[in-house]
Amino acid sequence: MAEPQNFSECVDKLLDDFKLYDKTVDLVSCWEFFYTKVAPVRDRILHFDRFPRLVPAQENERDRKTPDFAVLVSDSYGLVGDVKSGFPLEEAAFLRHLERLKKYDRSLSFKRNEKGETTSPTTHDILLIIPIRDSQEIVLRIESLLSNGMVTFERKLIVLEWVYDSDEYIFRRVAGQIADFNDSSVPEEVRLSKHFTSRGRSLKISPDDIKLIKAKWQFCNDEPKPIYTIVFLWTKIFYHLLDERQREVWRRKNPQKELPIDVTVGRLVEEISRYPMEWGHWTDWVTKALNTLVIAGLAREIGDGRYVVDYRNLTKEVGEPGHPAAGSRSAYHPAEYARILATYICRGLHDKKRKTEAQDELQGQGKLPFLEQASPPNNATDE
Amino acid sequence: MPKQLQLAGGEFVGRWRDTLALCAGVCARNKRAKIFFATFFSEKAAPTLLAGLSRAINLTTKTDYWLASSVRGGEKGGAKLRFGLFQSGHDAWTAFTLTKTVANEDALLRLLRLLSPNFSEAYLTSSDIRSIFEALEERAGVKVSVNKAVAYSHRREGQISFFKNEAYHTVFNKAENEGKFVDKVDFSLTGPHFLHGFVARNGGAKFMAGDIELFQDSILSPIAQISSNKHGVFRASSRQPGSTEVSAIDIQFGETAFQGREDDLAFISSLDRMARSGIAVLHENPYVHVSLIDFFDGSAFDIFATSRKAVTIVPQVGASPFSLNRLCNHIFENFREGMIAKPEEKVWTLEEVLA
Repeated sequence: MAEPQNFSECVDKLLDDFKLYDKTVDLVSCWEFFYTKVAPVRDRILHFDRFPRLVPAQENERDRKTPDFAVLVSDSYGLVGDVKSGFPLEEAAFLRHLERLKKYDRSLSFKRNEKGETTSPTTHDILLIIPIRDSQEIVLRIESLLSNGMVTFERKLIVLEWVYDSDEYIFRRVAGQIADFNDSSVPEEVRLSKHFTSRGRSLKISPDDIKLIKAKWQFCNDEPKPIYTIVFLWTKIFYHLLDERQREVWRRKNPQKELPIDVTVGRLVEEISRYPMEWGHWTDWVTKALNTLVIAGLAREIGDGRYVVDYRNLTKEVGEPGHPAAGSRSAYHPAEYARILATYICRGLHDKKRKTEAQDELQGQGKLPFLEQASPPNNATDE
Repeated sequence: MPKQLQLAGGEFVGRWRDTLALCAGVCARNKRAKIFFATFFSEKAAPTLLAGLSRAINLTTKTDYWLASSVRGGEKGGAKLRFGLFQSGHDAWTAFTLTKTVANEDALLRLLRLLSPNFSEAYLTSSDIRSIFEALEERAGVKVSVNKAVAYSHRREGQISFFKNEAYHTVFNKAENEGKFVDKVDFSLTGPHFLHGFVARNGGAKFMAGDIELFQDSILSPIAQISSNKHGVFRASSRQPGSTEVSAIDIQFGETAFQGREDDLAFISSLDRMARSGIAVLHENPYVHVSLIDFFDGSAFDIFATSRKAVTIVPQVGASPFSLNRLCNHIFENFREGMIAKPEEKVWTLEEVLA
């Protein structure tokens, strides 16, 4: 996607980032639902891992692999699932994208229970989950690269496509791929080869099925974009860092009043752990979120790793939203945090860009990309 | 400032039921006199909380209740508000005062609201009020007639309806058919018992005349009972710090409430209007997932509209049952009324998810 050139494109881009992450949370939740709530599947597997940090079993490699989910079906078979929002068109970039999946193509230690014990199954399959939009073309290109020997996988790489239709998320195996699940060692009920390949069935899961799973975890194993983390901090965490006197101000007087919160990354991470979220790179994520709040003008860095966040109820600052019944349906946008915070961030970036451009004009240097500060280079769904 | 009535002889005697009987006697002699009741929830003992308020409140322990008095409008010349306070259920408390002015009722409510944030009123729905009248007719063999009632439409641009001298079920049916909720009802009984009373959806009630025991048993107790049951569900839904488990509540509308995008937006818009709160719309289309923070006490909720006939609210860490109570009442008043229920535990089968 091209970098946004103006303010409204910037807001739309941040909102897209927000929605993309939320969508990935949904998709992972669908698979958690399948493996933990559907009988007899939930009774036939050993463990579903929503936040896997898989250690290569036989190598001296210390890097943990973090797919979107992992399932230890039995001592002999596992599944690694990765959700991607798409593949690049350009050939070399496409190949690089595909090769990133090779990090899962090795013997890995899967979590086998909540105590953290692990098992390296005899084999595992790699499940690539992509939107239906370009799935056929992507599979054809992958097959072509595999047959040409441009890329090789020791394990099976299976591509599933997903679509949201008739109030359900629908997953099915993309037609035209040669590889099939290597799951003959496990009971029939949990063989995806039986459900998806032999019987040609689709997995259909509604948002109603996954709502509690989603509310429980809020995040998935991918790194969230700062806008997503900020909304979480603003609506669920910051309030708990106010002192009693500050809370009293909002209770009795004006909830729009700005209340400064003097905070460090460590203190925020500690507060987040009440959720509990031990699995993420919270120190990094919170640091990026705070730095983005600084750009947005909603926080200041005051040295020694400390920040002051000007916390308040932002939703009432931008006026009352329209209402469908009032005839403003098409223009209706709720005064809600993702949009409001995106507006603040883009305003901050815009001001920064203008300042930089003014300096560049003076110094004859290049321009600051509009979103350089707000978006880290990696894609939330693709890591 | 209107003066509070003084009870003639034996005011605020040892037991609250005896005190109410005396107050009812005053109401029989003075047409303007009424007993005002406010039922509310507080997890800490309400007398302790009242004693801890900064304003001067004198508390006297009686046999089975407390007598409280506070001076309003400054130290000198201010009217004295005297009220009784008894525990009416688990975490439920009822305050009562004999008065002939709305000013005293408001003063009592304002005072009780100082117990926030760990406080909520005993919100009733139209259906709750209707069920109280149904049970009253059945129990006492009487007919409930509405002297006056007020109903509001759920939407902000909505209208107010006034009803006068109609059978209670006619009033409730009309309100429901017009997409309105019943806010307050002034009613009388005809039949073997006489009673003139008043019920409001914030759990407030008034006794004007008639059989005080019937009022206690058929109006006051059900208000505490119905709202206590709901509060119990709210309390059980709290998410504990450090726990991975979440517990949800459903608001079941009993009929299709979400038919398309317009209903989704109307629902989001209704949440948007909750005072002292902010929302984040995580998902707006094709289903609704909103995160809401109540700035009143920091409670946060995930709210889903994923089925056509219900919404689900998942309280997050630190969310209070009081805030959940306020949120549900806000949805009832601004979107649609429904029934609060715990979602049933369900295990799905392969046939349900594979096709």
